[in-house]
Amino acid sequence: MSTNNAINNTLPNSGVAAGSYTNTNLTVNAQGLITAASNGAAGSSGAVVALATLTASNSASLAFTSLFSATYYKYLFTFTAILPATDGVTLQCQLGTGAGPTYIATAYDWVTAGNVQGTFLSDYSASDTQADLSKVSSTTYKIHNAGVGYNGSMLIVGPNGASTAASAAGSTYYQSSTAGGNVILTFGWSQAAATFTAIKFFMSSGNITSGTIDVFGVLAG
Amino acid sequence: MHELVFDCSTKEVKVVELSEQEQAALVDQWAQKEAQEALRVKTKSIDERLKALEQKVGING
Repeated sequence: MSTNNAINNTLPNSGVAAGSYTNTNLTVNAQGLITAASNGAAGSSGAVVALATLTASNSASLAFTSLFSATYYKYLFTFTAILPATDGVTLQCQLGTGAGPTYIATAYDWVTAGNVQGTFLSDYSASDTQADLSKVSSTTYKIHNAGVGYNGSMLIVGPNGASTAASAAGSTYYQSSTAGGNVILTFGWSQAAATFTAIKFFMSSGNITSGTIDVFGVLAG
Repeated sequence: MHELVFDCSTKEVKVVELSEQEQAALVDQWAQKEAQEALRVKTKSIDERLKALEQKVGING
């Protein structure tokens, strides 16, 4: 404590106002001290910005709050090695509103289709309690709780801080519950208009053992 | 049992531990969803078989 005070008493003021800066422009002198700092301009329209990462650790859900805003007009989610604790389940999500947030549990309209071990399979719902990102009819073809897990990406358009519908599309690859079986699926879904703030990912049953979800925002113009 | 929450306004990760009541509610919800899903798959299968049968005998198409 006394050492820090001694250092603070010795250092001259740099002239840079204390505080936090975003997209910062800095000037550094020969001694390596910051002598000027200012806020810079945000990235240009269409630039992709890394926003958040969550890694599951036997978690019931992975949620991103205060996420959607007018700053971005698209959001890219990537899924890496998402493994469920329970065998033969599906990855699902719900959108949330408000600061709470309150997650919406009605009117999700989704469809899945893909090559399932050499056979075309599809599934859908016009009014579900959540959007499903991997569902096909048989438990055999749902996500295995070992192996490579659930991998892929999803692009959401719409939740931009104003009351609007949201839609998503993506492609994924995962190992199914049948030994050696692999599945590639695409999906899409939409929801009635609302001012969305959050999104939550979870399994249809049981925890998420491991795996990572990254979120990127595409800057609006 | 917990939920992981990334608050994008503060850039902080929160580990939200579920109470015993919340855990029980979640487990109950999983059981209900499994039952609903089993029923949905069964209904869909019956619908598809019925549609195929109707087409075979020349009803509705």
